[in-house]
Amino acid sequence: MSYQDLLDRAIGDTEPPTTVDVDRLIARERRRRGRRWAISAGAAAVLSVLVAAGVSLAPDPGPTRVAVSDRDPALRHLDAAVWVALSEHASAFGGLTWNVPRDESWSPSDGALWVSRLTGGGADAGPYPYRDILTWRADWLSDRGAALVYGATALIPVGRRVDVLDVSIARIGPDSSLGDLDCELNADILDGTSYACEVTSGPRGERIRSAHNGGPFDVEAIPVQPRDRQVEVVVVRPDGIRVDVGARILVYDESAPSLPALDVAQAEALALDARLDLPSP
Amino acid sequence: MRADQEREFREFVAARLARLRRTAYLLCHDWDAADDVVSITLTKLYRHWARVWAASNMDAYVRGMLARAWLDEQRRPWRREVATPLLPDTAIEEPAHAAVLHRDVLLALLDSLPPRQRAVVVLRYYCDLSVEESAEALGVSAGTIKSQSARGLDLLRAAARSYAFEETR
Repeated sequence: MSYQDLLDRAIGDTEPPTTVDVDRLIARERRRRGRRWAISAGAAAVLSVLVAAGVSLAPDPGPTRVAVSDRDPALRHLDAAVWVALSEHASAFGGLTWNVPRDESWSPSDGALWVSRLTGGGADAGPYPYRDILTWRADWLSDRGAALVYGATALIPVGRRVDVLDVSIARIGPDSSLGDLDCELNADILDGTSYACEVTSGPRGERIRSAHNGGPFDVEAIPVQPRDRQVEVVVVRPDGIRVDVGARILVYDESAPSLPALDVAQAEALALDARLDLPSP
Repeated sequence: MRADQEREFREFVAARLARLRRTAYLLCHDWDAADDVVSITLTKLYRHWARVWAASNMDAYVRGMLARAWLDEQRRPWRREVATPLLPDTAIEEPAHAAVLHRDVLLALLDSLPPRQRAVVVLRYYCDLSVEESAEALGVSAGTIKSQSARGLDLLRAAARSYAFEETR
């Protein structure tokens, strides 16, 4: 008996009827897409007016692989703000350049989930097989009801090691569980390890959750892989903007340092930077 | 989504829904929760259909989406499970006496695994994904998949032996 047969037998043959309704799912997604088109178009219009009025929001983000003019003005603004904040708070990332392949299906025209991709040090870490992994945080925020989500992901070669840095900015509702910050996440399996987490307050009333896994440590005698070492900071502002900054090792290399290139203090400074903001609805 | 893409999506879902649901049930051990996870997965699938359609192994990709959707759900405070630290001794240490190990016990053993390890077992041994496909699906290294598979394999071997024992009685 194969393991597949065994597991099939464990499930049994008596399944209740499914409640998954594909027609309803498609109808809901059509409505959602329509709403998000409207929000995106409104935000772009506001920023276009600002740009036309000569309000310089941020410097140009540097060399690009696609013409910057091809991109949505709202997205350009956010790309630039993230790039400037990164350069100021984490100088190691100052050499990042934009790398936004044309085939990215999560372009601004897809609605309110915007994801940009950066690559570091003049080297290209891709094409990378983990494309979906790179955008998980922005996807996660979007799937949980954030009204508007921007995500930027950077692949950062450190020698032969590759780190992932991601920055997400989301507008969350007043009752959204996305505003609930605690340190219970993963605490059950990481208890007794070098996992550290704390929730504090920021200078403008922000709530901040800062966590890092330092490793090495074992979870039930299974060595945690170097890539599990990570830094994660979440800031929720009083105006309902949530900023997530995460850094982790994606490709481990023995010859490189074993901690992500971004430390907790840098991640906090980045997440608290007021320039990381979204257009008002 | 264009009409032809939507037709492809519907055909894909019609052909795979039952299997996806059974996979989700192995993760959740609850049909209602399994339907929730399948719905989340299909919603993501619909949103990213063009990208998934271009994947070299579409089924593996979608099963990875399903496992990640379930893992994400585990992280929500009201869904968080408390993983028991040890498997029941009788099932693992003395499989010859595990003739009573029926399907509920196997599902309970699966439940006792930490979420990510359970996802590894389901992807590797039910969905038949390779180590590399599982690693890509869960965003972990191949080494992590191998180490987390080992304990799950012990569990399945014990269960398989007990089933074989039952069938020869």
